[in-house]
Amino acid sequence: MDFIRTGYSPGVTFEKVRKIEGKENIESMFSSYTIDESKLKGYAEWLFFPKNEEEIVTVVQEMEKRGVPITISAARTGIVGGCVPFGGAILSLEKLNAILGLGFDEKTKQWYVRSQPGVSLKELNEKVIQKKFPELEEKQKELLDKFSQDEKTYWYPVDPTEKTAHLGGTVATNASGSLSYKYGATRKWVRKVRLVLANGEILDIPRGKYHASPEGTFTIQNTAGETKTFSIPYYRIGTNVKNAAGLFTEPSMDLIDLFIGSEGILGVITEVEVWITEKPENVIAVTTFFPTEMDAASFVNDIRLKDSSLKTEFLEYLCPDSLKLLRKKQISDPPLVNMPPIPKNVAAIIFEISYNEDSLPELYERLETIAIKNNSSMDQTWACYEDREIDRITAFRHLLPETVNAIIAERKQKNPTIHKLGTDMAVPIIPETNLAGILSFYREKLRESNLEHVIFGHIGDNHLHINILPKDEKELAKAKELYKVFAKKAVSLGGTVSAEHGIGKIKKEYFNIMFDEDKRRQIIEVKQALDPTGLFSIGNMVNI
Amino acid sequence: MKIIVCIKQVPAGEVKINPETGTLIREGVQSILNPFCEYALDEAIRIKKEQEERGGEEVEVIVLTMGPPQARSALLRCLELGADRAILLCDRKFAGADTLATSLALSEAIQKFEEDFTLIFTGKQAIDGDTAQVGPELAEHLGIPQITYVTSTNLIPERRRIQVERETENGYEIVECKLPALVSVSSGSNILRIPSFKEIINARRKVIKNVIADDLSKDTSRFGLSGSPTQVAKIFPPKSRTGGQKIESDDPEAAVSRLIEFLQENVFVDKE
Ligand SMILES: Cc1cc2nc3c(=O)[nH]c(=O)nc-3n(C[C@H](O)[C@H](O)[C@H](O)COP(=O)(O)OP(=O)(O)OC[C@H]3O[C@@H](n4cnc5c(N)ncnc54)[C@H](O)[C@@H]3O)c2cc1C
Repeated sequence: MDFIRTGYSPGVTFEKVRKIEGKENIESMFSSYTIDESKLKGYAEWLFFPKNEEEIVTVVQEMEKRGVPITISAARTGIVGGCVPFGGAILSLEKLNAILGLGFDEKTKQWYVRSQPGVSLKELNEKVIQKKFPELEEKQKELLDKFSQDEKTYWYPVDPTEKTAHLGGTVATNASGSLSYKYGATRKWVRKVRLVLANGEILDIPRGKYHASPEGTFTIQNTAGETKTFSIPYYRIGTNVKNAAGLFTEPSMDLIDLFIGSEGILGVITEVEVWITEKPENVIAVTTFFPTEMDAASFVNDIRLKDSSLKTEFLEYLCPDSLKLLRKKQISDPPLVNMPPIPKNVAAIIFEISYNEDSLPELYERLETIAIKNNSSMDQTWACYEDREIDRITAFRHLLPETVNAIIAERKQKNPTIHKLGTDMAVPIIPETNLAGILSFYREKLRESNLEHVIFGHIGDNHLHINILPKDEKELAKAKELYKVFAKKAVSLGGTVSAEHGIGKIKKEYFNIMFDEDKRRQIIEVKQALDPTGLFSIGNMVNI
Repeated sequence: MKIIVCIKQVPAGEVKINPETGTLIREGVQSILNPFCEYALDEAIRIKKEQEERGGEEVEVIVLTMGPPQARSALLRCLELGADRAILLCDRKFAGADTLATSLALSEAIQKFEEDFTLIFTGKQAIDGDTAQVGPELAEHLGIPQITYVTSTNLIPERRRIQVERETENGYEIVECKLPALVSVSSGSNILRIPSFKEIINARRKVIKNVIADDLSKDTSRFGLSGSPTQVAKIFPPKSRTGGQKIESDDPEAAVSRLIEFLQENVFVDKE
């Protein structure tokens, strides 16, 4: 069905909504609401803390009337400035932080959770894993009992590293992370979305109900009976690449997918339902070392393309320079790194794979064969399966970006305008040559540029982060040019300029490499159909 | 040469106590190898490697524990970290043992199966019960010398002696004693080792011997609850130490002057 009706919400009186008024008040007491993890700093004249959907409707209607734009704000862990306002109002959804219900889909035999957007992924997962939902005990006792009696452990397998991110924020950015290698990005897990549109009316979109017409249109009817038909974008993005850039589109697409990853430009997400799934009981995380980067890349291809029974949870990369940086840290502060001595002149792949005791030797043999073929061995690995050890490996992986950030912070003292440049590009995993190809390309250009850098990240998705650490303005300028070169290359291979962080306000220059004017116009047309006066999250993704 | 390492499986993280029964809550808490036992094992493995390197007598490291069936996983961890084989004393009749009954069972197992040992290592204490009694009691049962709170060891096989450094209240002591002996280890590397995948697989091919109470003695009433004279009056988790005060600043000079201020205010140093 390509026809959908909006619902009515009465709203409340504007006075009832908790708000901070005035730029100075916000700046003096709530300045953290005008910045996110990108450190882009904005400003606002209003800051709202609605408690429920009715209050959101009121704020939306009132701001629409006054012609004040609204920037939607969740946990502000984004790193592209998506929730950073430049004037107007901030609509913080942090008070909508209740889990609303647990569900079991009889058709698919799957569990799901209904939640307000302000619940953090950390809280959601703790509750799901422990099967503890005190807030639901009264109204869903029977179902909760059924859930606790289910022997399997469940989880919501989306992990964008920063677990304080809100469910709503992650849906709005289609967040992903290391686990998306196996489980896919947020999109795959969203069962239902509920939104407040710019006209103050409600859209309730379960997955599987509303699909674009053969002509690529949707028709929306408001409560006054007026209808509006709009076209979905007709550009195409490769299907075998992880992507967080631009609005999603595909022939006869599900309407829900238009809003997932829309970076707050189409409406306010007020409720979501997400599937949860079985968490593997035993996983082993193996850090494997390779004499060269190309050996590591070939190992990754062998694992993900040659032996379909090897289903790793994730495959992560640390380049020789990354390990060198961490080794330096290890020498100066061993407990911080908390690892055995890091070997020299090697690249590392960290992968996690589920196992059961009986099949462990067989799994080992298969991995060992692949490792030997690629000049490595399971003999020189760090293998962790206890929770506390897996936590050690996770902390070790995260230590790299933290170390990079610390170095930049130190350099900033001398050169306040410099910052790190972190890429977020991915290329399709097929053809197989893409990985070695893009890695060699990065290598060659980085060598020519002589800029300090590290390469690491989600190699399983051909999604490597290059972090460039400029020492001064000149190097920063050079790094920015290089960034564009990399973006063009990734796009030329059918890849994306942003696989997980999104575009927000600070990656538009690269977005424009991937999305030419015509493609941007297609996005703008959707935006104008749903939000004609340009109320929501202005400045994200496209310039209106 | 046989080195025996007595180890214990303990709950990871903070110990919680059921206020009604006064016993440890073990459900939902992961179990780990007691860290002091891991230090003890490390010391044994180090000696083994050292002997190998200098072509000395071959060393066999045997890990021993008494515990429920799941304690197997702690033994497996030791095998992954380099122990050669393991013994698990596991029987309902061992349950409810205090330190006396525990050390008795351990000593009888050692006498029965590994009598020709050269050295026994234990951790200084288990982090759940914190008694630090099992090691010393075990040495008493076996009638061998013991050195507790050891921080480093030097085995002198030619003279059948061991020299150690041990912690005392106000410093360190160097002590030497005759072998066989029991050494309880109180410190080690604070960076725990991580086995390789190969070591994990190899460990699964090593032997873990199961021993029941009847294997050790006809009079099993000396084991477990019935062999435990200890009366526990009260059990409580120790108050965890608070983090203290941390002075954080990007500016070292500002941080130092705040530190001086603090020291002066609290009269740790005189105001100039
Ligand atoms: C150390 C670190 C590592 C990270 N690693 C990853 C990673 O691996 N993968 C990844 O994907 N991200 C990563 N991120 C980025 C970030 O965590 C994600 O983008 C996250 O999804 C943002 O969630 P949030 O709640 O903080 O949203 P915010 O930053 O507050 O907002 C993000 C965007 O969503 C919009 N929005 C928020 N809520 C709503 C709503 N209810 N309705 C409509 N629009 C809304 C905002 O307007 C904004 O455009 C990382 C961040 C940090 C700091």
